[in-house]
Amino acid sequence: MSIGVRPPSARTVALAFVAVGVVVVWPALGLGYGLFRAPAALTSAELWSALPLLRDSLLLSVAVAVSATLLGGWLAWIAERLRYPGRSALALFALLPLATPSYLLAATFERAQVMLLGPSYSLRGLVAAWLVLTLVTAPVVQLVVASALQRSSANEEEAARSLGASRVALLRSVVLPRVQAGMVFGFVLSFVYALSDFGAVAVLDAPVLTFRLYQAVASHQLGQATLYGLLLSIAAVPLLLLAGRLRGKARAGVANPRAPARLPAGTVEAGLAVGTQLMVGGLGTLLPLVELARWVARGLTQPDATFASLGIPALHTVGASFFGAVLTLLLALPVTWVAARAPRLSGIRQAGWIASALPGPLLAFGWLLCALWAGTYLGLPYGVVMSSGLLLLLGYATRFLAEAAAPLEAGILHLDPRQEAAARSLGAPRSRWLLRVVAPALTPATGGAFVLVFIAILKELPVTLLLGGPAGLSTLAFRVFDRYNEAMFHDAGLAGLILLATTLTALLFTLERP
Amino acid sequence: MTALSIRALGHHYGDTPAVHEVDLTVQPGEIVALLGRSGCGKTTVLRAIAGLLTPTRGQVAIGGQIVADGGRELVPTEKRGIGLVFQDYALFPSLTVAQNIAFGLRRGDPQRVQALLDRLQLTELAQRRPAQLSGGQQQRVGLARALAPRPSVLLLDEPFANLDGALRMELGALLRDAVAEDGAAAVLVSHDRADALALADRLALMGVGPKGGVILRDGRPEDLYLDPRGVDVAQLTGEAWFLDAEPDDVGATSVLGPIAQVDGRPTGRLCVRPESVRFTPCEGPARVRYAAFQGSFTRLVLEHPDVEGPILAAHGSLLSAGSTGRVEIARAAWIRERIDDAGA
Repeated sequence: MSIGVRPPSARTVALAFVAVGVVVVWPALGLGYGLFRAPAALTSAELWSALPLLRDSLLLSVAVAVSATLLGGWLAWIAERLRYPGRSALALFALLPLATPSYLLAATFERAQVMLLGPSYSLRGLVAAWLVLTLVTAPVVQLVVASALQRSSANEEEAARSLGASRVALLRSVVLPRVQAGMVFGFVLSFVYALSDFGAVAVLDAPVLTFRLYQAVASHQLGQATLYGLLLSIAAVPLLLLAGRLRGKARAGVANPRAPARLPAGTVEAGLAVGTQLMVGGLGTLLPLVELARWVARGLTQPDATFASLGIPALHTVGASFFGAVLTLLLALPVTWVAARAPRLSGIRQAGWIASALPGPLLAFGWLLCALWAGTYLGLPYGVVMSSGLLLLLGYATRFLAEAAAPLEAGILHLDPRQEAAARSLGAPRSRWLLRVVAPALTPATGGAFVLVFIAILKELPVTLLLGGPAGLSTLAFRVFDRYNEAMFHDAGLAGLILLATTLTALLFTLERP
Repeated sequence: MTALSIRALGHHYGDTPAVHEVDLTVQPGEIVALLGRSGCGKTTVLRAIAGLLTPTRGQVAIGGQIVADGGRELVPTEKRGIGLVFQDYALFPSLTVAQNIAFGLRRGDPQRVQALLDRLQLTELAQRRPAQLSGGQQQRVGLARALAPRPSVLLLDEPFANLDGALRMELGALLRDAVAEDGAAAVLVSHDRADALALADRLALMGVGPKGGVILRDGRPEDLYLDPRGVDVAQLTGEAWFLDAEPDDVGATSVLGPIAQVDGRPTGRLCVRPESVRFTPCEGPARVRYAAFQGSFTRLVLEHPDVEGPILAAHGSLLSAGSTGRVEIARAAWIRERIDDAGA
């Protein structure tokens, strides 16, 4: 008997709307309030002066998206369709930059250049940011395209090969049409990532909107910050809407298809494949690890260098990550439940997704303005709100709602509606079904979501800087950024090593899971 | 008191009609099978009884209490006193066998759980989880879980579809015993006529009419099998072929000779079951076009110069294609194209 899922109760729908209201509407209201409050910032002169920033942001994003799509697409193809020695380990190695925060890669990339080439010849600014962001986003594209390749059936490829199609013809006529949607989605994802990135552009001093927005907020130039925020929203929101639409198409394909036999790679092809994978994994992960270790080693050998205690940053990191993850999950659960069980209300998932994908500095700025508005019009003590850390946790919840929602939704969609029908027919109260059937079934998904969000908060920088700073928060990410800017590389190195080791462990754990 | 009563039930999904004017009653301790091809609406009827959908028309009453009427749900699923058994078991994976059975019981009622464990031969498996059980064992747990709160109506959705022959027999016997002991009324949905014929006290045969699924006929399996009255009922209840004939004083006369035992009112056309066909190998006009050895008998497809279409027969010994012989019919039933024509 086909049993449709039971629509969510009115109470759950109300909870979901409250959750979305908290994480989406409030920061959006804050930004709206900023626009209302600072019309002076929108004079044509200032607008014209901000346009080069928009141009550079878009240029950087396009360049990153193009290079990451080509590189990531190639990485996915060689990992899924070619056969050569060490392929499996090398494919995993090329994915490791997923664990490297962009600011860590940028910082280590910059210092390694200085060491090797000297300060005069080292790359900074947009070109350096392009290289770093390409390395960070190519594995994302690789995952998306590899997933599309895994969902395309072997039959078509084998039929083409049996008809004598060359490798190029096979790629052009059979494989590319199948992974086209995934490639486009990967392109948009890396575009959005580059447009939203704060860490790499801040470390490499690239003149783009996110970095300038952060600087304007940090120096309390709210009018200018609003203008940058507005431009960033204009650039980002349509792309986020587009990405949301493409996501479903990129997932299309055959579920659990039979994989085609891998093509044996020739010497040149194998050399290219191994070289690319070594380059991406090496530059994206090994280089930061080695460079951070070098900073620490130098600190250990310099008699005047003392290491600041990591006790407080570690405590703050764990505390912020734990409570941030708990709040994010609490808000994500009703939203995901409703989105999964009431297709007509799936717009709330989209709203949460867009809010989560907004550039971190913009989102934090929205929350700051929201607190300011609440202080002005509702009489809430702004200082208390800022220093309590509540705003920071809410900022994390907005930023990582989508990250928590993905595994939760997968878990909810796996719940068997027949089990619910059976439980209802037995006359058991809903609470018994929720506690004894749903909760155990959702435990892996909830655990996975918690780990994902915990690790994401661990690495997070712009929201932590803008909303955690006033609360006196000093996380490991904060320590890396702060000490790097102060040229205290040994301290930055130690915090960075701990951070990278943690994120790498979590990534390997995640990738190992089926 | 009637355990289940359905009156003029109708439902449509948007503009698509699903069932129309369905009437059905089931008495306590009785097993009724809803039998029909895919898409005839039998699952819709089951879901309407369970409260998993509210029918757009008609009335459903359980134990004398009206639970849905005229497009309104009056009693929700959890208060209807029903038990559901699914094709793919739908056990709660995080709970043990005993906990699954106790799920619908107040304070667990360990005595009832133990009684069901014993009755369904699950005692040894009480502490195992569903993933550690075979398909047959899981279905026994599903049955025990559904029976535990002593439902007045037990609804079974293709309960044996995932099981092999021997297990089907074993579970069928357990189901019959359990229903008899608890006095529950059981509605079994199946597209497998062997299950339905073997298990049910009564069959409700469903077909598709212009306004959605309808009940073609409702009666004892043997009555429907031997006197189907309509082509669709004949085909739903078993293999059959059709032959023009004239009634006579004894029974009927056809191109294959006289037929002594003929059921129903004369219509000019007969429904013949393969086991009623006697094929005698000789230099006769009939020829074996296809023979399939089935173990205890051989299934034959015959052709005869005077008969339009194939003749289906069952023969006691091994024959091969090309053999010739003579065909006689021992028993048949008068039939019409559609059940409505028969005035049933």
